[in-house]
Amino acid sequence: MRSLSLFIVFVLFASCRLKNYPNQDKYLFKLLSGPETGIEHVFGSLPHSSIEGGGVGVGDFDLDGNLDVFLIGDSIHGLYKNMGAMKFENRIDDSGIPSMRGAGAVTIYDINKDNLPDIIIGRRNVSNNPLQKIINGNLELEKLPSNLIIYLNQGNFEFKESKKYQIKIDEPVGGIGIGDFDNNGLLDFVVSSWNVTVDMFDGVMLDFERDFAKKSNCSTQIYLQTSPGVFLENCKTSNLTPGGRVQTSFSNITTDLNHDGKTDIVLTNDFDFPDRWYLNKGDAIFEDHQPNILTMPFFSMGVDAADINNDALLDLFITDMRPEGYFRQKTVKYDKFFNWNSLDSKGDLNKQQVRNHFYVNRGNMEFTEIAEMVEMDASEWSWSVLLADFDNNEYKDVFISNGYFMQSLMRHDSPFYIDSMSSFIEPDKRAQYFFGDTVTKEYYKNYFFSNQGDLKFEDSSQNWFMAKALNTRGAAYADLDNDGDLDLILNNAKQKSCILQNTSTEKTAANYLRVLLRADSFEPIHSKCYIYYNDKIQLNEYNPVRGFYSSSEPFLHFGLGSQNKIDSLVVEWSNGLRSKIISPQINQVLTIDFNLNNAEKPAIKKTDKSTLFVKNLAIDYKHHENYYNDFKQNLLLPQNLSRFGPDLALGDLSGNGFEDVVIGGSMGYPATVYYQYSVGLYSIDSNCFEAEKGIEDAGVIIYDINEDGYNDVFIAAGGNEKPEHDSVYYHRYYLSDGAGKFTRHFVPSFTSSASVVRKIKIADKTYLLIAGRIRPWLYPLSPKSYILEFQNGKFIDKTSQIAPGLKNIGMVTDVLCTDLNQDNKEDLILVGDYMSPTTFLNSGMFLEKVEWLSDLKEYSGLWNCIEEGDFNGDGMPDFILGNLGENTRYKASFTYPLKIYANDFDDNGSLDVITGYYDSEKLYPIKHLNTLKSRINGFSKTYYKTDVFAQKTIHEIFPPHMLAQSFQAEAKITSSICLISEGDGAYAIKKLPFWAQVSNITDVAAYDINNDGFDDLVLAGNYYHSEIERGVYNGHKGLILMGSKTGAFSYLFPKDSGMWLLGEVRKMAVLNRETKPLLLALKNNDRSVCFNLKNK
Amino acid sequence: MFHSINQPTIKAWLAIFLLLKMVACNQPNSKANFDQNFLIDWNNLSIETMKTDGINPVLATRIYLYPNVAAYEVLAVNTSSLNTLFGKLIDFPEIAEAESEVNVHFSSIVAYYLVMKKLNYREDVLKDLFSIQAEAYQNNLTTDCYHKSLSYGEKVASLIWSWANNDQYKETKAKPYYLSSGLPGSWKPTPPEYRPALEPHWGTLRLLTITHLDSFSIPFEIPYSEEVNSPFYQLAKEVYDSSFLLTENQKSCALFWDDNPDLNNFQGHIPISRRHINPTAHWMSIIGQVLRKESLSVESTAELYAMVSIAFFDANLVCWENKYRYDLIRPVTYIQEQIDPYWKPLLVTPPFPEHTSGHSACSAAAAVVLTHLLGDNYSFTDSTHYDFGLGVRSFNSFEDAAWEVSFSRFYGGIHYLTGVQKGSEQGFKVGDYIVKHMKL
Repeated sequence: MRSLSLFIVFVLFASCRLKNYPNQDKYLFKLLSGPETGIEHVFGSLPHSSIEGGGVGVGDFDLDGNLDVFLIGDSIHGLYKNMGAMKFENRIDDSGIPSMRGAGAVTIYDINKDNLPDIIIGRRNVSNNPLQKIINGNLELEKLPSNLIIYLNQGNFEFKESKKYQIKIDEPVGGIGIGDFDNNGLLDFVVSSWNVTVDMFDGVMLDFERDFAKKSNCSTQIYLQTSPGVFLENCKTSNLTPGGRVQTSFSNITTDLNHDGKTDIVLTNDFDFPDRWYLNKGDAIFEDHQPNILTMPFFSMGVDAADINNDALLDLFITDMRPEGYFRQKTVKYDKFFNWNSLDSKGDLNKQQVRNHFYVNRGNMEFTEIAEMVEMDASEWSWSVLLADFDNNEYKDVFISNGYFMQSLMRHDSPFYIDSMSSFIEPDKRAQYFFGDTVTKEYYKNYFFSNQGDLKFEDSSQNWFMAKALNTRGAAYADLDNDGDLDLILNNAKQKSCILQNTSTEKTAANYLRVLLRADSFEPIHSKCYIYYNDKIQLNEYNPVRGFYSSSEPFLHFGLGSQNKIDSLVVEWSNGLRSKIISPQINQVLTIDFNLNNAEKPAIKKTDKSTLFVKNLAIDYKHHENYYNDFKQNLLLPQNLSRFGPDLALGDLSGNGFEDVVIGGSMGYPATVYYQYSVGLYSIDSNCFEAEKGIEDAGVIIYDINEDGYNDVFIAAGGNEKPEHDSVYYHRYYLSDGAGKFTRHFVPSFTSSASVVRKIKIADKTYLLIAGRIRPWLYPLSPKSYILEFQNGKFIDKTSQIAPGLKNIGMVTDVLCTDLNQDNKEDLILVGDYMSPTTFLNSGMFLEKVEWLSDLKEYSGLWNCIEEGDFNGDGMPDFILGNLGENTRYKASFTYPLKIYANDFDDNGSLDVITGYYDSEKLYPIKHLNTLKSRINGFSKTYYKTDVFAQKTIHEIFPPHMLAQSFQAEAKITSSICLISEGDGAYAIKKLPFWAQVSNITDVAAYDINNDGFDDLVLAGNYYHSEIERGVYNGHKGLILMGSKTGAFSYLFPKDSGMWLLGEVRKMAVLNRETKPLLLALKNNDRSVCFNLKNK
Repeated sequence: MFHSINQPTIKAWLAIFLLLKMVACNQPNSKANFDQNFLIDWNNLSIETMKTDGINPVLATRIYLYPNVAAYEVLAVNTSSLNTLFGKLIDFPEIAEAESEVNVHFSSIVAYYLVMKKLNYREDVLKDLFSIQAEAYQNNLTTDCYHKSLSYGEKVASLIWSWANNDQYKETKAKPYYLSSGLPGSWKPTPPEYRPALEPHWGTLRLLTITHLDSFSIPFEIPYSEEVNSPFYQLAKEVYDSSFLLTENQKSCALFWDDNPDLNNFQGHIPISRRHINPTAHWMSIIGQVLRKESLSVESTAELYAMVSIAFFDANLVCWENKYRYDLIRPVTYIQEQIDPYWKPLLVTPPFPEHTSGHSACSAAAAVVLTHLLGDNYSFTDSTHYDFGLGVRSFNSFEDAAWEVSFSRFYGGIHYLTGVQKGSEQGFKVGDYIVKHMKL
């Protein structure tokens, strides 16, 4: 739940003083001030400190049982001994760690295996690139032998720069990741690097990457320790940066993404460079998994990996810079979208979006990204993210640190649009424009999202700590007062660092367990610890380096809530062995030392094949989508409208008694027939419809059109490539002579761009319904739908006689023919884009537009499909309606629906489409001002100031009388729903559960998979070609919902079923339902996939 | 010089009569020539607002054109010394003369203001200037005259705006979004910002004087090639090589005529945006400086502005249509791909294809018209960029200046020699045509 008050702005001066804060009893975290704790560290007290601040390192340096704190400073660091009871003493003076400029990241780990945690510091701001010149004026930073410095712990808070453990790095060093990548028992490093030697800009991603690769010498390096103290720079052989040694990486996380016991790396890359997901294939050879990650943050900053939904898979959270609230999102320059040139000839995907990304691990290296769904996408300019169970309620919460100086800098018409007089400011005066005291500083609150379980999050920022605006960069968590809950240490820029003392165990008596993993003979980092209790599981990976530039405590912290018993604890050591402890004691720190006596080789997991679906290659269809960019014709469209295929039809075309399949082809590709010649065996024919391949095929159907005893094929036309009435929109049909010869005919009297075709029987006559999808080039105006009768050798338009209400019914996406009112006559339900589900009841003579369920008319949505099944086994049909889903920032509700208007607002002969959504109860345009300016005349003049535009609602921007005369429609719900029969013709309308809403559903297949008398449903979808503002819908991986008597669904996830339905699935069908049922899923521009529905 | 001096006697008497008509409308102790600089003030205000808003050079030609045309036509229809634009500009409306009791100077200011209001983003600033000038007229005209003049100005403005609004500009918004074709040799967005193409459909706007656009179009005839010895490679190499040999004068020349109105300089996440003058406004600034020196009559001032705006507009349209017809790759793209990936031109390459150079074409056309109206070898000093530390530059003639402009684009590394040469050629041709067509 997003809090309504969005942010708190303070104007502070450079050296702020944090006094004791009274009245913090109602907060979970108590903000402790400098005088209270003794930590008086400030990063950024110097005039030219770095923008991204410094990190926090946690370690028990003197092994006294209290975790100490190291704070990076812009010159002098802070080394604080934990004296107990939240009191600290600064020991930096005699520590041997010198002051230095340019330091950023710190990692704490025992490198030389003497049980004393060592301090590893990285210097990033060292070069004389243009950015640094501005920040530093003409201050030259001292050059050190290496920008990665390892200080070995000598005991007694004394440290010495290691001669043995030295890695010479000339490039700037960002986040310092550690792990044993080649499993040789020695610690390796991966170092993020971000060094701009040329002017940075928001360029075209693909060209930029290639261009920049030639120009820059920045890189992200991996250093393998081949023998103690010997580090080998191993970028090339590791295959770490394919195509060039170029990154703009602040942070990285080392973690085991695919649970194969090998440590993988995720690098966050600022600007255009996509983040890198490197999968460790063994021996530190990495595979670039990035192309499979279809959506990622643009200005990626910090990253953390942890199991957020307690399914024993590690999830990821990466921070970005999206501001909160409509006004800021439209005015802050960095809520900017991927350059329009990406809509380019390669039909490229919107891979990067300016917002946080929250990836839930689905297994098999598939991730569903849900930040917008759970409203954690916008947390202003964010740096660190930490996933930890702060309130000990068994679920890991999310902490995000944020802040920047002068957010107002980012606005389109901020004072920083230097007017012509001042365009020649001398470089050394510019610094004061960035950091000078006269400039308003804006800070925003740090964020806490508390995890309630089942991926439900609440924005607890206001009630977990007093909402003091802090400019926080690095952060780390640690139980500083040993009371069983995690405190936070924040390194703030230009403010004193501070401690948030967690009062959970005081206030809630929640239980916990803290585990420390140690090993002498190998590096225990990335060992995993599982606890099992009550059919639940929790996982923690030993991975201290997380968030941003920081290193948290080495303990694995489990919150247990009211659970008072753990059944067992299992450690999967990073050397491949496994230890188990039965019923470990809770509410304590459990130190587990690796010992060969209590470790064993894990048994090879037997995969339970009984629930696994097996792929079938009977039909292996590769769909090709023709490249056509709808946005080029009209930038105001919400999505590409020419890629909705393919559709398919089932029927016995050859007359051999077996069901065949016809699949439509996109423009330039012919329709294809799969003839079934024996049970489950098909032969392909892609020549029979070759002559009409120039048509973008939409709906397909097989039936005996001319009633001569042989099944024929009807293929409707679709797409948006040409204007209305073009010959590409003629519908056609092929009459079969029963001997394999088809004669093609066109439906002569009209054209349209259709979605599906259905046949319906009315009074013993068979009629064909062609559902209209769009009016080409005139989206969203309602197209015509048609009812045709085949009479005397041709199709006659009988819409006005049979179903006059159907004519301009809307943008129909799917139609279901079924008996709705139990009178043995086929009725129709239509669903569509910005439409309510609409029913036509068969009166015996006509189709009458009659309400069937009165509530349904309220359910206007962006529907894609409707399917029926008997999910609760009561003998009455139930229905599933697939919609856009809930994983979108543009939420719809009954009071605040999505809206769409169309009119020629600027009187220039072209239809302007305006999509709107409600934010804070006001209706605003979805499209960014730049898009509207380029398409609507007069906007540049009226809205030359962006904030003038951003304050106006749609009704203030467009003249009310024009809006009133416009085409308009709305969508009150984007959730996919089910209608479950309750007997006597009554239906309950319910939303499908969470995992069905993570992306759009384009089709559903109903089948009783486990033969228990309740139909189950397979659902799939995804859509990659929406407007830039939305990005890519890629959440579905193949979900099965199991039906039950109550109509409630239970999940069967693809990682357990093996039924992975990845990519953009458009249509599914159950083939050979009675004999050898197969599920066929057709994907757009991709290979189809087919599964046996009955095992054995 | 000015034709009025050489007019036959009858016309001279008519002129005096009309002058009397105006004078009759003034108050008894009104100041003579108080409004002499008013039009100059308007055009200079236009320059200032363009700088603040970073108006692109193409749009600037339109913003300059219509108000100046309105101001001019008010005078032309009522003054024998000036020729009406009716019948000269395509589809131009016929405007009726003013009744008596109208001060056409004021009406022309009114017309300028009202048409400008439709185009300029800064209505508040325009209103301020108009108030000041209107007040001056109020003090010098009888009340009746003031209101009649206002009303006549409004009438003319409305007719001219109607005509202007039909020039197909707003229809360009409905045209497809321009994406690089990706073919070899075709234009691609250029560093550092890779901005989308500017005004790709400008070539579809209605021209003012030219009826056969094709006769002014200049093809690009060198076949694209990446071979080292090919003429195309050599063309690009010329740009590259000369960039290392520029003299200080050539560098300052490039910077002086850069006239890039909207530059973003990103330092990491911090953008510094600089809004500045555009080529059209630069020439308007020159004209402003010249006019202040010359102290011409209101009529001659209006004529100068109008004729140069017409030349600018048509030359720019012809050039822009050419650019997108040939869709030629910019030097920076080709050089970075084929010769030196680290090379950067001295100037930031503006976001549109290369052939031909807009600044060259428009400057040449303007120079022809200015020469015709003010004379050959009209030497002048341009202090447009003095306040920005670029000093002043002096020229012996407008044509010299136009030549310098075209070379400046080559020194700046943003054009091949063909682009600037053919651009100038195009501009001179358009300028000559306009002089003839408008019977200047």
